[in-house]
Amino acid sequence: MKPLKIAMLSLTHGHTRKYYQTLKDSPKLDWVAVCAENDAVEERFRRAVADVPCYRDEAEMFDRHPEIEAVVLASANNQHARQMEMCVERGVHILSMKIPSFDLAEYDRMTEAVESAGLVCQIELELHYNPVVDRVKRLVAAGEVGPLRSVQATNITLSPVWAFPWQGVPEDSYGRRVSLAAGDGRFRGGALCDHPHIFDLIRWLTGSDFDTIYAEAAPNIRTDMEVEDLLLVSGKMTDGCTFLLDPSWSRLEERLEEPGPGWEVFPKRMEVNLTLSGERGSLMADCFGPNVYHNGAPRDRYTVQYTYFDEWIGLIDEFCDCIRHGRTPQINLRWHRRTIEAMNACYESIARGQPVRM
Amino acid sequence: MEVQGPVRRPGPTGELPVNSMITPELNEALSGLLQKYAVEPARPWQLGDGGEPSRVRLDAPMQLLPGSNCEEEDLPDHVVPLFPWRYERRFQELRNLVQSETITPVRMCRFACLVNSATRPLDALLYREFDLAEWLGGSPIASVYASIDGELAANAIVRLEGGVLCSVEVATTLPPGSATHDRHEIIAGRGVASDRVVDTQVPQSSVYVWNDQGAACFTDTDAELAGLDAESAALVRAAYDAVQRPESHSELRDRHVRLRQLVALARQSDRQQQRLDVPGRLS
Repeated sequence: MKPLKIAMLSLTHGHTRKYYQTLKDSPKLDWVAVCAENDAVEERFRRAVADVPCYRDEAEMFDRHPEIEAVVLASANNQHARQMEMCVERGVHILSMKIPSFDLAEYDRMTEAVESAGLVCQIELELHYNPVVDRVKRLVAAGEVGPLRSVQATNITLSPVWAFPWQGVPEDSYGRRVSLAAGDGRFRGGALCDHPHIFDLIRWLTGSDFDTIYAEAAPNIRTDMEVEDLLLVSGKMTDGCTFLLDPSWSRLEERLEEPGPGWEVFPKRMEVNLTLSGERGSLMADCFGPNVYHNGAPRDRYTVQYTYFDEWIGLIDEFCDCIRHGRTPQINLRWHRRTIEAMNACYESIARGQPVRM
Repeated sequence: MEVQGPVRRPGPTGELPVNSMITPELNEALSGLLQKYAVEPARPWQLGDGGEPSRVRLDAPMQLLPGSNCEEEDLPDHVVPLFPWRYERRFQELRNLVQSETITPVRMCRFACLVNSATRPLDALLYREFDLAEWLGGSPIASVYASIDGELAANAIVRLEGGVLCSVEVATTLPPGSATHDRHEIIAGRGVASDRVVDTQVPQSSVYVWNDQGAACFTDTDAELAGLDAESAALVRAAYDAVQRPESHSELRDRHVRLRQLVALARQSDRQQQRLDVPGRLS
């Protein structure tokens, strides 16, 4: 298969560094160029990657490299609509970060534009390419625990806002400034916006849709942040399966401007655990474990050294395959809309103090 | 209930005695990986795993086998010994921690491996742990003291040339059907690293299932080799590397010779009840 000529925009998303490695290593890709959002981002990029042209103007990058076939939108959520529009105008396929937009009217315009142009737009939910998730999907599909009646899932991490400040700015993360609830000084746009994976996974595992969603936010553990960092979500799927989700930033971090060793305060900085209870039995899974462990440099704290992080291989395989063979990615805009609706329902429930019927 | 790992079936017979089974799943997985990355093998190949004693075909132009399961020191040219544990993510990350000096300087290692006797013979366990001691510890073994009980259990203390002291505890005493239980701990002036989480004795798994058929657990570490357990995936990765880099084969054979000699030295140490220095003749 001819390597896909690819570029990256903005370079401000938390997964950006992972793409540097993926775009360099994958034989399916030919990394053509990047466009950095600001001086600091450009400087970091040039330190990490020496031989890929870096631009500061997106149009200039596209004009100078008409061979670009696809881009990774490694940008803040509020940049996605504008960048997608630019890609559609130029006939460039899109790999979008996990939240295309929380504004459903804007979201629908994106969908319409991408589909009308015949472009591939894949949403980056990399957990689908995790080997443990693959095992769980196959066990559930084989009926090993029977039809699911209850799902608990965590997607808990440290907060990336100190390295990626847009994730703590309501307008950049949620798209606009909306109060979390009456009398609450915080705004939408925090931990929930960072963690769509478990809202998506429960749909895959149950084959069902959200029926009722109830969410509550706890007081922040980072009291200087204006977006939520702790929340819990419960509810039912249309097939009656009950669920409890934790999409919090409940693991404290050192406030580094650039992620690196010593980032975590709690030993495990990122966890996705599942407990599935079905009519025949139960299943527990740690999607990022076991690992190896140390208490060495730089802070001599007990730390999980992850041994899993190759999800991007499968993700890129699918993206390239869809473009070259005219297929639709499993996480496409239409599929993903319901996940975004569910996340919006969480915010609505927090504001109302009552469950939301979907 | 699904059982993790390749389905075992008898392989073709031949003249070369090795502890290996030819499993179609592993060979298919390797074939898939080679195709995906457009690797053209220099010669036709066949991959055997570390299963029960069997015999492999002599006529296969390139036999890829775990070195720990090749009992002979001198292998025919067409046999390529592999060191699959080096491709397990946990060992790669432990090595990264040492090489990046996240823990430093390394002073002592504590390695242990318990298996059921149907899995691997005792010498294969010593072979693997000695290789890990040198690979993770960063220098060759300089001396060996071993206390061994036939084919059941061995306890060894080895010192690396750099001064690192390492204990190796191995046994084949687990009952049939038991999973391997191992632990690798590296102790440095700054920090300790381990493949086992603090306050546990046995390995953790990624997935646990309980149903009316009983209980099962799974640990999947390689998305491109989905369905293979960590050990099998590592073997396929090691074989892929060997097929991709035929120039590495002589180095792999030399390494095999050294490890077989180290295992023999451990046996000798037990017989003589003496600490023995690794002679200069070792590769």
